[in-house]
Amino acid sequence: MEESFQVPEQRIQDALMTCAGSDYVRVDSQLAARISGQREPVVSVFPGAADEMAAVLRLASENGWKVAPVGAGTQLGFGNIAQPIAVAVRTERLCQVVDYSPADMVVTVQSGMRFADLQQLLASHGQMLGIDPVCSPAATVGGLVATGVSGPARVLYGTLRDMLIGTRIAFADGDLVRTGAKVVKNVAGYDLSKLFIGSLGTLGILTECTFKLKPLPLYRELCLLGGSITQVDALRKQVMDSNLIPSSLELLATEQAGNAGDHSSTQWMLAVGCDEGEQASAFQTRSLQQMASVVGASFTVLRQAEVVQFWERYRKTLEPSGLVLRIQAPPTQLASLAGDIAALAAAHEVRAFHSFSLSSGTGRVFAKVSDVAAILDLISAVRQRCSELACVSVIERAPLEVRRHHDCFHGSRVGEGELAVMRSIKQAFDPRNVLTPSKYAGGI
Amino acid sequence: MLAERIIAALREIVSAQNVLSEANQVKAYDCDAYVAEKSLPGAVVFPESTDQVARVVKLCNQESIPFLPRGAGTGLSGGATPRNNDLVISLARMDKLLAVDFDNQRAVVQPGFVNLVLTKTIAERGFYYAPDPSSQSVCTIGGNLAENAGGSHCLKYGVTTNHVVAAKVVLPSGEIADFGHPFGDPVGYDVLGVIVGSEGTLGIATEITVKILKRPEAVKTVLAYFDHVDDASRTVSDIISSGIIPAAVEMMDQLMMQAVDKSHYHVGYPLDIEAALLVEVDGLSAGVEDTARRVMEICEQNHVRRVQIAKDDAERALWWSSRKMAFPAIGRISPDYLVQDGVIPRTKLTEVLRRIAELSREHGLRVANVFHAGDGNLHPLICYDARIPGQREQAMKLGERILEQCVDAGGSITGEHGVGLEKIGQMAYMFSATDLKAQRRLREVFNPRDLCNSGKLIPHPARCAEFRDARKSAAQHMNPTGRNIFREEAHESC
Repeated sequence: MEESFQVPEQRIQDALMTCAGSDYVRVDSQLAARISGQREPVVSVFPGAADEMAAVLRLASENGWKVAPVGAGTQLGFGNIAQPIAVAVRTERLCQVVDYSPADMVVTVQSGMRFADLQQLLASHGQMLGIDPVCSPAATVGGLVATGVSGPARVLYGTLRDMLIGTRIAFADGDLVRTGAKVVKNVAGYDLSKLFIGSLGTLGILTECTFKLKPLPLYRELCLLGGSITQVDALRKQVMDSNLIPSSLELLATEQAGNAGDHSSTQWMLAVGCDEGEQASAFQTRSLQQMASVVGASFTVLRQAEVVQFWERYRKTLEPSGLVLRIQAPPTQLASLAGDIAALAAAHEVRAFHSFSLSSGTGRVFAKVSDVAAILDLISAVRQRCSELACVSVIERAPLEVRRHHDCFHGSRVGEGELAVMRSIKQAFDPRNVLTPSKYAGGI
Repeated sequence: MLAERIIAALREIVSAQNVLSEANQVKAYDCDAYVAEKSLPGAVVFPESTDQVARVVKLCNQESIPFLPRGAGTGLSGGATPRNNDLVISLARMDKLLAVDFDNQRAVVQPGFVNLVLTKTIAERGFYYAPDPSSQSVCTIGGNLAENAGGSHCLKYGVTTNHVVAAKVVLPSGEIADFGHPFGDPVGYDVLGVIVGSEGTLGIATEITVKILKRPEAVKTVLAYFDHVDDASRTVSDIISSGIIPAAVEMMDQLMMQAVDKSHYHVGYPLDIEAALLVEVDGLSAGVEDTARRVMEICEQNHVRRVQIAKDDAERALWWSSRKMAFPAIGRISPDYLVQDGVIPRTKLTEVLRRIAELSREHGLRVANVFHAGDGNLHPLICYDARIPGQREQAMKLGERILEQCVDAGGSITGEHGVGLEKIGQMAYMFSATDLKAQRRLREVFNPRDLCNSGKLIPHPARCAEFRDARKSAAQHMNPTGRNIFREEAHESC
């Protein structure tokens, strides 16, 4: 560790220029602070091709420089605080579409491509990548894969692990490796691609990702069913028991519309989408309306553009949140847990937003970080509650001062056996511990 | 055979009646449903608990005995075939359904639990287990996990990896670890994601948590006859590009239809059509009728000769039986056959089928085609007669050529049957030496002594080069006897 910082930045910079050219290497002090809170600047290098990326990594490995991969830098608040970093490998210039055959519904893009640009391209062919995470418009595909994000659509479309079918990875030793294939079905060899989803760049750096796509829904409706947590949970149960095909089953606290602070008045809303076409949507909407009237919940329906606008507003509202906590629990426990967390947030005077994809057993708490002490206490309290229920909580985004006190990965079910295997995997793919050391679960 | 001392130790762990060690007893375990290569196991044990599996594996480690797990033995690539006098650990007696949680839509099963039994058990409450390999009435969920099994409906619902959410695994060291989470995302690396599909080389799953789904409210099944394969292929592309995701799209060619019509499941396909397409759509009743009608319109736009919707469940069941019994039905027209499992981009269907027909002529062997057209997963069935010297080798060679065509078209050597023994030679065709090195690194994490299902899935490094050299010389100097020496050697060394 010490060694790498006895090397002057100038030497690192000169060496990296041999890999990526002099225009694409620079010393960066602001980024350094954001990556690991370090005072020492990092040297940012912008490889223009996968083999340049591999050469950078080989050089870094040989010299013992610690490396952090950085896409748009919008997801840096995820993960424990890494050891000081010498080199930031930026994927910005790797932003091309490598292969897109709309008729095969498979796309391969370089990892630095902006997710928003990818979705726009796909939409022009009536297709989409089926994820809808809360993220910056600048976020890159590689960054989203490395952070394993998801959104309300996961209850129908699944998560990145259901969509990422192949990758190209630069390993720390400079090996450039393909995993998976560019066809939707493939079982040749180990499914290594999966290891990189949510790995925070600790195993290798993605240079390309290949995804399975979905058709863009031709028609959309979204029913908003409002009531108390008990009413909303009763509706959740009915929907899960039915044959309905929700494209979202998102529990939201209506204070997200702006009525913050007063927990006693917290109203909850279940946002149930339908992407199944006009006739099916009409049927689903009627069924939901009936369910709502039986339990005495309020009912609103949005159609087509209104649905798109609803989720756009949702993402825009939540995107600036400084704290994102992911909670995982059985669907039957999730709504009441959300209620508990809302009460804890109110007690800690933290303005929190709650968004729980009920049938997937996953939820997120978003909060603005104004009072760090209150946030620290809230996280402790939420984790205490999660431990009691044997549920999982993961900090997906938090400022450095929060992550200094809390381990981001906190899963009651992650046993020593699993951790030991994870450590061996890290050791196998990054034996010199070059890639963002200490950032990951279990000190990896 | 294993030493008597070892057999005694095994009996100690699993009790005497759960150990088979006589040659005549273990004969049935000399291969799986890939029958081209066989060899006797050292012994067979039938553990009844995770703890017993762990103790057996620990014993194997102490004594340096190669071992491998086995489910129902329906695998099609030799993944459960003992090539090293291995101890076969049969999970057949770990066949319990441990828990069903309808409210949270999860079930926990032991590895020997049969795929279709799960669906049957939960059907009353309107649930089912989605992955549906053709062998689902006998194959086990543990085997499905090992092979990442697919099936006809994975076009819409995904393969095994999309449905297994957690597992208790006995690692090749004998340690027990839990992977995955019943709800939500992995916390840490998605280790479960690499264990699924690892063909029993990374450990033995002993408790498996899977998603169970609500049955769709309505299903419509469409059967279409085409004069030309090209029209059928285009229909598949057109359906998908119209924004419909059918639950399944299956295609059979002429030879295949003739074979299944000779079986118990006689549909009465016209003799002169080139292709039959089976398309299933499901969802809410309110929309399905309309979707089925759109599918039929697309068939008509592509010169379909005849297209119909199954009039009742009996007709739908007949059509599906006809499709699912395609492999065994080949026995009606050929004494022996070899199944392949290549995947291609859907858009290359016509081109690759034409190439397969050419290769079939070049090799002088008939090839029947049945495939999951929706996801480009081909199952060419190569007909041969093992009694004719050299034909089996010729069939294997043809199979290899077909897989290479799939890779050349941008696809894969296996979509759902696995690499096993059968396709280990083609791994180096699909992946570079560097790609395979990464795969081996993972294997060594779990299986450093290479005792657990050794010689399957990932070729050894030195042997990759042998494969390549042998392929080249085989291509340059076709053996005059037609016997593929390269293939034989390859299997012995890997």
